[in-house]
Amino acid sequence: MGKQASYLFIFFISLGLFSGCFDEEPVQKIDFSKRVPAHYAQEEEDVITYAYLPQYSHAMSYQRHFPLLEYLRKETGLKIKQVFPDTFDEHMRMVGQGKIDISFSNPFVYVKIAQKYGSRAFAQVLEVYGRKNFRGQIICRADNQELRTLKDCKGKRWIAVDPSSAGGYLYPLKHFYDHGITRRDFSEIAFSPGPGGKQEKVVLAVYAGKYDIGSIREGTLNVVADKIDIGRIRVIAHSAWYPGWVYAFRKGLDVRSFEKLQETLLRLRYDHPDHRKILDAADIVGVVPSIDSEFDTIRDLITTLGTDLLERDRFSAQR
Amino acid sequence: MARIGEQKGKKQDDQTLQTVGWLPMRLGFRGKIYAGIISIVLLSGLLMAFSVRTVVSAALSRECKQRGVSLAVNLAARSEEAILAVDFLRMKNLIDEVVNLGPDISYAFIQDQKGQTLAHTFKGGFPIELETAHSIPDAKPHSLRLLDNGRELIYDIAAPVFVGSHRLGTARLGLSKTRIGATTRNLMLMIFLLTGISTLIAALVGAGFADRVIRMIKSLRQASEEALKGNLDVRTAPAPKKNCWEIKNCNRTSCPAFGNREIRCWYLVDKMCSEFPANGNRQSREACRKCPVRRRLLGDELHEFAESFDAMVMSLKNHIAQLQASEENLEKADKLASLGQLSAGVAHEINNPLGLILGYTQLLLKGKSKGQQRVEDLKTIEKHSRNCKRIVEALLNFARRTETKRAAVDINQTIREVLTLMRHQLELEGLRIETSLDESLPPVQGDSEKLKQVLMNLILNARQAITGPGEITLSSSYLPPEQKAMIRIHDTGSGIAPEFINKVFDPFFTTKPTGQGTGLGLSLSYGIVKEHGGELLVTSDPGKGSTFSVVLPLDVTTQLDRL
Repeated sequence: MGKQASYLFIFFISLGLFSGCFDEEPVQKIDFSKRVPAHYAQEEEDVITYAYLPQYSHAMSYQRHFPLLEYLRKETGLKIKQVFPDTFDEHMRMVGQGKIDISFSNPFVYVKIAQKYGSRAFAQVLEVYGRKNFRGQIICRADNQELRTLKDCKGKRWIAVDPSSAGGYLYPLKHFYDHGITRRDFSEIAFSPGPGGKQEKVVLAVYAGKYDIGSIREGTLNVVADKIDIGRIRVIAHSAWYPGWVYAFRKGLDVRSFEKLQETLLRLRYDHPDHRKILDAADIVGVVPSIDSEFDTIRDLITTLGTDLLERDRFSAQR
Repeated sequence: MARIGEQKGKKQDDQTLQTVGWLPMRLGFRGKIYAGIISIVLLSGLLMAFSVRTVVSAALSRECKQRGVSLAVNLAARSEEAILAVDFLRMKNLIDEVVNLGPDISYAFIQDQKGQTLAHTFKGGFPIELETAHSIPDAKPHSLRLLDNGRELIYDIAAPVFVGSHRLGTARLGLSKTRIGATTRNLMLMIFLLTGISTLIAALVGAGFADRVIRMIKSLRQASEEALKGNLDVRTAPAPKKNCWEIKNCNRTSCPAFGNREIRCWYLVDKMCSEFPANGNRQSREACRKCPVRRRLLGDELHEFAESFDAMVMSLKNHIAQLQASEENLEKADKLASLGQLSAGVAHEINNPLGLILGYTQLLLKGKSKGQQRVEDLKTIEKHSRNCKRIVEALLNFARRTETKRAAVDINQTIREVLTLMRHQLELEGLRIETSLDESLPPVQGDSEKLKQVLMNLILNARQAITGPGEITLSSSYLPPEQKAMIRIHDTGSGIAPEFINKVFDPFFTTKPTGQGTGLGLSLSYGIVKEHGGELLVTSDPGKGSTFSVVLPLDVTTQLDRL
């Protein structure tokens, strides 16, 4: 009896000791000793780069234009790749460096890159309401009882999209000017931090109460409808209509490539079922031809706002 | 066949004698306690360790995998912007942040949709085999694979990076299974350490208890050995701090429990406390069990055992002493009876020839005138013959048992009557006679003449013990608890040597020179006192004197009257 108890004791101890040895997971052997330095593959040659001015997040930019690019690649046979500059300034810089061949931007940025780098407009998009133009919105929190009219915005803190944003800064600024309110009348003008998502960030900043008013392009509130209760945001005023977003090619782009792209782009029809999906994804209803002179109104606007526009450092908080 | 079976059984019995289970018999009690406690604690610890290890190991592994998956999925979600922007710095910051979350995260890297590594956390280059070791289809939210790099086991976790429904790339994370195992091992170590400490504490506590038990057992064993050797003056239980008379504020000094610090009161059968019925049977023991004194003073089983042992030894001692006394008395009585018979026989045989010698001597003397030598010689023969006759009469008296009368006897009166006869002679011899008589002494039942004989013998004995001036004191006292009377005769004589004190009541024993005593007086007195149901006792201080005590039961009718 004693011996049996001893054997039983030893058996249970051994069972406990070796229980951990029965591992059922399959294992794959990998040799970690074979190492290579960073080997990011070089860009393919003859790739046309396409960039969407980062008014929204990169993911948003990607989702909006991925079907369009797929269409362009398929139809033109060209290697087109979307690139994602983090800021408006970087977008313009990349155009100047030749890293962006096709720029899709607001007219304010277009005017700058046209002036600085010789880019030329070749198409404009039709916004969801079927117009080539678009406008900006001046917003505040719906529960802010002090802000009812434009004049109430004097002395308040203002967050804009970007110093180069049209609907998110330039157009609302002109609207303030037209109503006798200059930059100096605000206690603070800030710009949305990058990279990307700048339009959304304006709405979120006003929603959070960090700023009293914000300026966005019309349509942005729908973009953030899934993030916040947009019923808590009130539009104080709209700016005037100005030319909408524009496709421009960089100076020196291969003409044949450009012509193919232009022709394919302009072929998009909203009543075409396949094209509708592409256009809906991009939040536009069509693409129409455009030329540089159509943006003279923007140039006039800039001239009107003049040196005051350049004194952004004095009144604004850069990101 | 039966014989073989018997041999086998005997062999098994022998083996059992050598071992108890698997513990050798030679292992002492302390050793057995240690072995038992250590075995129990160790076994419990081991069982706990291994069961906890299994459970914890599985839970820990599961939790770590969950954590790894969460980190990989989170990394994938946060890296989409960086991948789109081909922002290597941002990607590097993201993966470095993940790896810094804990030492169990071995690596992290991000791949583009073609599987190219965009950023990684390896130092000294990227292990190329790892790039294609684990691929994840678009449909799966995450995937886990166990890799072995030769030094450790690593869970490689892959999570796809999506923008909407478009796959941008993959986030990969390495979670060290070996380090998870280290956590489990640390836990096991902690359990083993705690088991070890528990074993030590249990052993110490067990040792403390075992020591007490062993000490008590040793004490009992030594006491038993002493008792076997005949020494019954042993004590094993510690002396009680409190006693029953102190707890109950009792001052019944006559109670056997009062002042008795040797034996607990509940072991004594004739105690006088109010809760205890005097019949000493089972009800009495029940009464003691319920007594608050016992409940307060009772120790644990060992203590009780030791006290019970001490009580048993004391009881044995008393019984043995009583037995020895009874044996002595019986021996003495036998001796006396034998001697009596012998004496009667011899005396009877001698008496007749003596009578003839005396008769013829007197005949020869008749008609002879004094002065003649022959007449003087015959007178000498007559004198010594008369002496022999006296001795023979004494012997015959000793052997003859005369009937003892029974009546109420006033002891004090008896003493006075004896002193009336003897005082004068004693005072002439220079002896002072003192008395101290208890006038409240009730009568005893007995034969007053025989009692006088006893007193006279004792006084004569006292006189003979004193050489020169001295004192003889007679006292009487009443012993109410025992319902007895005591008579004391104290002398200031030479005393009795210790080697003779047990022989003084033996017949023919005398310290006087030859011819000065028969040596039968004290024997006769002893017998008379015994007939009265009493005791004759002697104490002596050699050189200072002796005291003879006669203890007699009181007259029954008087006792009843008193009740």
